Amino acid sequence: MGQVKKIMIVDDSRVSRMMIKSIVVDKNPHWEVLEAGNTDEALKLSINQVIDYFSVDLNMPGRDGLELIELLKPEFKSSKFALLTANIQQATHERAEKLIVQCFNKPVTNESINQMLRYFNE
Amino acid sequence: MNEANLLNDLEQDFLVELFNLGIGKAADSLSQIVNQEILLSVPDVEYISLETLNEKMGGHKEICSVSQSVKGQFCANSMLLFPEQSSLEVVKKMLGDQYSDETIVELHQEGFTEIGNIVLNACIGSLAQSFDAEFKVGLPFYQIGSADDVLQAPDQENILFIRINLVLSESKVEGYLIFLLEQLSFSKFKGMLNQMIKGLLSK
Repeated sequence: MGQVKKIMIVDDSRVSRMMIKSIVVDKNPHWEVLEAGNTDEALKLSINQVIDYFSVDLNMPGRDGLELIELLKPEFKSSKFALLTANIQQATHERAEKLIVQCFNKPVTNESINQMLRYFNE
Repeated sequence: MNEANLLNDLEQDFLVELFNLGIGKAADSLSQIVNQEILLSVPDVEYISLETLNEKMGGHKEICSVSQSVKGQFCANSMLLFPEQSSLEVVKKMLGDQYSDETIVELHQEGFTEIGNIVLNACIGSLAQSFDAEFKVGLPFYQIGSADDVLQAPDQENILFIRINLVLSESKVEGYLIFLLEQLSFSKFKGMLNQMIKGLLSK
């Protein structure tokens, strides 16, 4: 648990990134946190990086979170991906399941982020 | 107004029931964000002109709104509206006590947009489940202004207007969840409602 891990938080909402980061860092003070506001930023930022965990928002301008995960997966084969989304539609969750991505429902709360962290630490 | 387009009592009753489920989900999300109970009104379904709608919402000078388009078997515009001061209070509750008032004001737009995104998606998700359909939900769009500025509907005479009042029980602030159904998709929508009602009655 005390290991230094690297997590990338991708969300177009700065407020959401702030809230996710604050809960993640509170539980894991040693983790390194990278932040990106959209898919392009995330792709650029991930070049030559070792990233253990990705927390990705679904609904973003440009390419959405699932498209981002599809692009990242071949480069980050052993990383874990969490799709954090307000979209609770079954069809969305099914698309995520196909990519073997775990979904967590927004809003960002201690509970939802702790669930995501438990998944990362499994 | 074309009378054939109006919902009959049974259709309206069923629609209110569907929205009750949807706003239940939306209220649950909002309640998690602001850490307090959300009191809901029974959905108010009306087929009215845009002018009347603006009059109804005209009580507040500055209204903050987040809207998202809903596209699928029918198309609609969904909106979360709070008077400006109340929307600040909602953002403050979401962020917690650790931020100064200046920071809250700075984060107001982004915070409220995200709240709209979550609340509207919760409601739409539930509706999609009820209709057994998938809806494409657009990106959240933030606006602040008078009711006239905020409530702009496509060029059409009448709109189906579904309004739900949301009251934060402790903060005592009130907002609205609104769905505007476009004329073109109205007959489709009516057809879907009827199919579902038939399905229920034949069981």
